[in-house]
Amino acid sequence: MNNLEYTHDSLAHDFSMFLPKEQEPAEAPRRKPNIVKMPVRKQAAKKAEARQLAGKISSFLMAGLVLAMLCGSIYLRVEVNEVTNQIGKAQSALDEQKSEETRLLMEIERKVSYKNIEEAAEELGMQKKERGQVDYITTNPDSRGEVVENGGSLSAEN
Amino acid sequence: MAKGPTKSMWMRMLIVMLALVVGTFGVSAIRLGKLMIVDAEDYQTMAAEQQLYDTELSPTRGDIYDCNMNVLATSATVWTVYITPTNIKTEEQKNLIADGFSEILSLDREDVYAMTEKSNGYVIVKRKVEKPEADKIRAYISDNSLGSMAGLDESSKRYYPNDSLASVVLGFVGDDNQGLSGIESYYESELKGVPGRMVAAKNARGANMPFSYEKMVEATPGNSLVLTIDSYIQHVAEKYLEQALIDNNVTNRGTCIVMDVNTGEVLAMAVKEDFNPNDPFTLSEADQQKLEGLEGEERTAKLNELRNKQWRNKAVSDPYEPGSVFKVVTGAAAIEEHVTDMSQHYNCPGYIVVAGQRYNCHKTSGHGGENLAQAFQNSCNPVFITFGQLLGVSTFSRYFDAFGLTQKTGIDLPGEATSMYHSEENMGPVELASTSFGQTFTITPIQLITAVAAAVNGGYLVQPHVVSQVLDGDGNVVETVETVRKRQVISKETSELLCQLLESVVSEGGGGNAYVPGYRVGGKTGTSQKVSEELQNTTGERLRISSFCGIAPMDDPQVAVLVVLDEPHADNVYGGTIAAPVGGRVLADILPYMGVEPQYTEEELETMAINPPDVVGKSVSQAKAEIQSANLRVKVVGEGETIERQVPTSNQSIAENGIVVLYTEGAGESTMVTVPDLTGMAVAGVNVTAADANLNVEFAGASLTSGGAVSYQQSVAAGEQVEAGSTITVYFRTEDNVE
Repeated sequence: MNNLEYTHDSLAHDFSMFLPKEQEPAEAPRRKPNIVKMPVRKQAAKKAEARQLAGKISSFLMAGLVLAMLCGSIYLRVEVNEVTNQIGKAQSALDEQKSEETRLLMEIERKVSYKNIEEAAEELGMQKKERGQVDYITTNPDSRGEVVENGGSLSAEN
Repeated sequence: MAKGPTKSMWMRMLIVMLALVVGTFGVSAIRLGKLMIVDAEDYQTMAAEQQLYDTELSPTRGDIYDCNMNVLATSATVWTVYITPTNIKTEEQKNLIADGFSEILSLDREDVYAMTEKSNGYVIVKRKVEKPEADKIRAYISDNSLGSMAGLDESSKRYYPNDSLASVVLGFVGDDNQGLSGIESYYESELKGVPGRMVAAKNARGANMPFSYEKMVEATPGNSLVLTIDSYIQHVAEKYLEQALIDNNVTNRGTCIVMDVNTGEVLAMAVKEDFNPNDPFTLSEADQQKLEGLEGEERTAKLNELRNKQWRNKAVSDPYEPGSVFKVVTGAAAIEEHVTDMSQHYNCPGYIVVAGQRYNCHKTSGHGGENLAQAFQNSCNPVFITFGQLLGVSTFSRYFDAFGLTQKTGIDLPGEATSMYHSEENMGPVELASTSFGQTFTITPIQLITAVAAAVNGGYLVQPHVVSQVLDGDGNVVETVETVRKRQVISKETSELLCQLLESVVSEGGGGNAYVPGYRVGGKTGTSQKVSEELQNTTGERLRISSFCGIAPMDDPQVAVLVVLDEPHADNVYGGTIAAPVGGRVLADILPYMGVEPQYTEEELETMAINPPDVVGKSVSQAKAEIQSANLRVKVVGEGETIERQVPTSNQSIAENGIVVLYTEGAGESTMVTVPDLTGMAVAGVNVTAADANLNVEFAGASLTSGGAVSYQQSVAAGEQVEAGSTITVYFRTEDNVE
C-alpha cells in the first residue's frame, strides 16, 4: 500500500496508524555522509585563490632565494679565490720588493765601504786628521747643571 | 585467448629486468667497490696531488753582523732562469731565446743556443739572477709567448756588501745556500733555519685556495750572528797587510790578527791573498796566470788547488815555526820559575853549544854582556836557550802545555789545525834548545797570539772566539758568548814584568819600527827559518817567515796584534824590519779609534805637527809675522797686498819649521812642484830635500825613537805634481836585523 497517496490533510485522522505497518527497512550500511559542499562564496573563493597564488609566489621566491644564495655562495667563493690570487700576487710582489730593497741596500753599503771611502777621499785630496788636531777632554760624569725655569737661580750638583 | 600479458609473461619479464638491473648495478657496484675500497688509497693520493698544493717553505738564512751591527752577510730573493728544450720546436723559437736571453743575461749567444738543442725538459740558463734582469726576462717571455718554453724559479742569494772584507772569516755559501767555509759553515745549523710546509687546496688554475683548505707550518728563519769582528779594525788590518805583501814580495800569503787580550774577542782576522765571497770561485789575476798552458785534468787539479788555497784561513789552519815571538813564552816561564830576573846578567858570544849542536845567535859576533831586558831587546838566542836549559824538559813542557800550545784553541772557526811539537818524552837537550827560541815545532798564529795575550793580561789563558751573540729572527738575543778564562798560567807579577820587558823591545830594541807616538807599545819580533830542505829561495838560503806581535797600551794592555808574512823576498826580511811597521801602523790607527787616549812625551810634543794660523784676508806683512811666530817658514806668491789663499790651510798640520805658501790676489794658478824621492834617507836628509821642494813632511814610523832610522816609503810617489806647501807623509824604519 505504499503507493497509496493520501492527500488528507486533516491531522485528526492519522490514517497512517491504520495502514499496515511497514517493515522498517534494514539499516543501510553506514556511509560517509555525502556532503556536497556548498559552493564557496565569491570572496572566500577569491581569498583561496589569492592564498594559492601567494603560495606559488612564495614558493617561487623561496626557490629564487635558494638559487640566489647558491649563486651568491658560488660567486663569493669565486671572489674569494680571485682576492686570494690577488693577495698571493701582491705578497709575491712585496717579497720581490723586499729582496730588491735588500739588494739595493747592499749596493749602497758596498759603495760606502771603508775601502771606497778612503779611495774617494784620496782622490779628493783629503787627509786624515792629524794627531795635533785632536783634543781630549776629561769630564766628571757626576757633574751636571740644571736650569730652574721660573726665574730661579741656576743650580748644579757635583 | 588472454586479453593481455599473462602472469608467466610478467614473471619472465621481471626476471629478465631483474637480471639486467642486477647485472648492471652489480658491475657498477663491484667497480665502485674496487675504486672506493681496494684502490681507495691510491685515488686519495691522486686526488690530493691534484687538489692540494704542497710546497716546502724555504727559511730565510740568518744575517751576519759585525760588533757594531753593520751587515756583513745577508740574503735576498733571486731567480733561476730555465728553459724547457723539449717544448722548443722551431728554429725561430731557438733563435728568439738565444738572442734575447744572451743579451739580457750577458751570456754567450752560442752557449744559450746550445742549451735549446738539448733533450732535457729542464735546463738552467743562469742562476742568481737579480730582479732587474728577472723582470726583463719575464717581459721577454711574455712578449714573445715563450711561456711554455722558459720560466723563472725563485731562489736565494747571499750578499756580502763589503766584498773581500773578512772573507776567510765569513766564508761563503754554495748554490743551495749551504755554508761551505768560515762562519757560514761552522754555524750552519744556526744560520739555515727550519723549512716550513704548506698544504692548501688549489683551484683549476693551480692557484692555492687558503680559505678552502690550508694547513701551514711556518718556516723558522735562521738565527743571526753578531761577530766580535770590528769592520773598521778589520779594514785597517787588511789594508796594511796587503801593502806589506806587495812591498816585500811575499809569496805565500800573510795574516794579521787583532785580539782583545782580556776577553779573547777577535777584533780582526785578516788573511791576504784572499777572495771575494760574492764570487768565491774566481781566482785572482796572479793565480789565473798560473793556469795558463794547463789543460784537462792537470788544469782542473791546479784550479782546485788554487781555489782551496785562497779559501784557506791561514790564521787558524796553517801552523808555522813561530821563531823569536815564541821567546815571550820561554821568558814568561823562566821568570815565573825564578830562573831569571832583572838582576841577572848573561854573556852572548854569538853562539851556544848544546849536546854538541851549535846554535848561532842572529848576531854572529855576539851581543856581549846583557841583562834580561837587553836579552829581550836583542832577541838573543843563546840567552833563551839558557832559559830552556835552566827550566828543564819537564817544566818547559808543562808551560808549553799551559800556554795552550799542545791543543787547538777551540776557536769557533772551521779547519783549525793542531800544532806539531816535541813531546816531553821525545824532547832531548837539542830539541829543548831549539824549541826555546821558537824553532823545530809549529803552531798556528791563533795559538801564538792567545799565548802572548795570556802573558800580558795578568796570566790568564782566554778562549778566542769570533761570535759574541746569536739573535733569533726577531732580533732577540738567544745566546751570548761570555769571556772564558781557561786557566791562569803565570802570576800577575810575572805578567807585569813581561809587559815592561816587551815595551823595552819597542822603545829600545829591535821592535822600534812598531813605535807609535803617544802610546806605550810593546812587542816581540820574529824571523823563523822554514826548516824543510826543499824550502829554499833562488840564492839557496832557507825561506823565512817574518813576524811581529805588538801589544798596547803597555800600562794596561788592551789589544794584541800579530803580523805574519810567509816567504818575503826583499833585501831585508827580518821581522823587526818588515813586520813590525805593519803592527805599528795598525796600532796607530786602531788605538785612537778604540778610545785609547795618547799620552805624549815632551819630545813627542815638540815634534808634533802644528796647525798654521789662518791668515787669509790679512795683509802680507801681518800674515808673514803670524806664520813666523808659529815657528813656520813662509813663501809668498804674487804681488798683491792681501792674502787670498794659503797652503796648507789652518785645518792641516805640518811639522815645526814647515813651509806655508801664501797666494796674494793676482797670483794666478797654484804653484805646482814635483815630489822628490824621499826614501832611503835619514830624518835630516828628508827634511832638507822636502824643504828645497817647498813641501812639508810628516814623519811616521820609527823616526822619533831611533837614530839610524831610514825612510822607506812616502805617501805621494816621487815624480807626481802637487801644490807647493803640500804635506807628504814619510815612513821611517830601522834595519837592526833583529830576529
